Amino acid sequence: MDIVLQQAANGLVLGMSYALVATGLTLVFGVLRMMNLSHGELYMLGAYILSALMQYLGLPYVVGCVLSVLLVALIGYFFGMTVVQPASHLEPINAMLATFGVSTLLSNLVLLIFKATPRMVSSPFQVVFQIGPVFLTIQKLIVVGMGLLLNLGVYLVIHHTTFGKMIWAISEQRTAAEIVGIDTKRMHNLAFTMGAVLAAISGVLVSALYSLAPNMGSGIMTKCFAIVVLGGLGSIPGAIIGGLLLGLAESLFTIIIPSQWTPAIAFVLLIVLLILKPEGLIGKSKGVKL
Amino acid sequence: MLEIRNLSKSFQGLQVFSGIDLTVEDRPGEKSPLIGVIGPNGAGKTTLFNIFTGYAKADGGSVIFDGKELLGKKPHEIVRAGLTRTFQSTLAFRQLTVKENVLVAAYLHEDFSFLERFIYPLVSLKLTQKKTRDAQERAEKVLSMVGMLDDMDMVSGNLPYGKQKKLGIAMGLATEPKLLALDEPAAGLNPHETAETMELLQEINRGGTAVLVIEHNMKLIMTACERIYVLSGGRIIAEGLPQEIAKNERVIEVYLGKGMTAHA
Ligand SMILES: Nc1ncnc2c1ncn2[C@@H]1O[C@H](COP(=O)(O)OP(=O)(O)O)[C@@H](O)[C@H]1O
Ligand SMILES: [Mg+2]
Repeated sequence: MDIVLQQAANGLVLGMSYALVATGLTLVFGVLRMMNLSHGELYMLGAYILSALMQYLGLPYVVGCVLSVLLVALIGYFFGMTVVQPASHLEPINAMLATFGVSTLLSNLVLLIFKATPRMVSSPFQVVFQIGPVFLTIQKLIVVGMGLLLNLGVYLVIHHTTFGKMIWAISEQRTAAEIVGIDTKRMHNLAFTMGAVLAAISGVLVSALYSLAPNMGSGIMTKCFAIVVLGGLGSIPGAIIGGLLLGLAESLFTIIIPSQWTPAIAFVLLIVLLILKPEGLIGKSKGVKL
Repeated sequence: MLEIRNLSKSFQGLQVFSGIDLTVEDRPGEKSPLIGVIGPNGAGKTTLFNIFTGYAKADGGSVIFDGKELLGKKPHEIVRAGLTRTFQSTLAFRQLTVKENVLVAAYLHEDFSFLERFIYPLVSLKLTQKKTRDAQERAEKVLSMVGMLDDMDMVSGNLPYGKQKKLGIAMGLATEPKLLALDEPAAGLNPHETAETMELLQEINRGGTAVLVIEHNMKLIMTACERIYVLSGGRIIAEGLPQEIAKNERVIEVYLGKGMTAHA
């Protein structure tokens, strides 16, 4: 029983980190109507830039986190403006391929600079404590807390702010949004950057829990695909529920199956859901009303 | 107000038009202009609109609106400068109701500060209440003007075609333009709806908004517009009062000689 509780707690932490990455992905999809294949690399960059800042500049963890997220925001904004935004006028498949290019560029750049050796980041919050039979660290609590906070924040921004309404208008009918005077390019770039920031935050938080590798981006992306399909493409609550579900499932199943099988769980879940409920767990969000 | 000078445009080396001059005067204190652009299909009327509303690039020439060059500006900047257009096809947020559509236009076309964009709506409704109230009032005024108060709560995607076109005009009006440019507002409408649309344009115009309208239907444009430009073969072949245009031999040749009726 204790091991089940422990694995459930671990699953919650893992799931929240998935949820954060998936929310960014689904947000960008909701706005650009395009799968951003470089999303996982932005997550990986968040972790790698943090590790470099700590190792080479000797920055403390928290400062490194903030700087790394800011840098990834800049990088995201840059690629959003130079690659994604121009490509968004093309066929969705071309735009998606453009983001695949960014993804390849970034992961190979990191491989070139940092080599493939796994890296670790140490956080001052790795203090272990115990609740009943479950061992946790402050870091894990931070992941869960930040996950909840950020997802709630994104939800509020999208559904209850003027920015959210503009974003919705653009995703719904781009030309109509333009002729009523919305700066569609700027909103696109902002939304893409928001996605990058979410990915980076997840990256810096998780870097203290799991080891880093240049291919960690593609690893989490395959999971995020499963999550956003589970939760309904473009739905933020769906991304959270899907993320938690997958984290819990992966964690709990390691009790009964060897852990090298965990990557398959995402796809088993996905296949089962697609058979039972092809529209996703909670369906597509209805959008924003004024 | 709008001065188009020596405008030219080609697609892949194929000239659409060149040397286009067109003026919508500023007449403070007097009746606002209501000007028509006619011409056969493919003459380049929509392309002309696309250029001065930021949807296409010109090869040469200039477009001055209120003393400022419009060429090179983006669509939303042109809307904010006071020039709004409609499209030949209907364009609305199909999931939203008629009123919500007009509200989007009334509310979102303004420039918002960072605080207004993100923070105010979250922390306090009061700070955005004035803008919201203004937008509500404007939306209702516009809807009553176009005669769509009864359809206010209809989901726009379910409206009949004629009303969708009207909604497009309403959305344009809600952005409070100085000049409203309409691309074939009566295309595809029945004679009754067409007459209604023309009355509406005249009413909008009486309300102080300058109107520039592309129209295919000669009779319609003749009765409503005070001045007409005729675009054909890549040139403005005639310009003047409706009765002058109706008698102009080149216009008659283009419109009637090639088998087109006045109602085409
Ligand atoms: N994006 C485009 N690419 C190539 N040719 C175009 C494009 N848009 C319009 N054209 C051509 O330009 C000419 C003028 O078109 P248009 O402005 O739509 O005419 P109108 O609105 O007067 O019917 C037509 O011959 C049309 O085929
Ligand atoms: Mg046309």
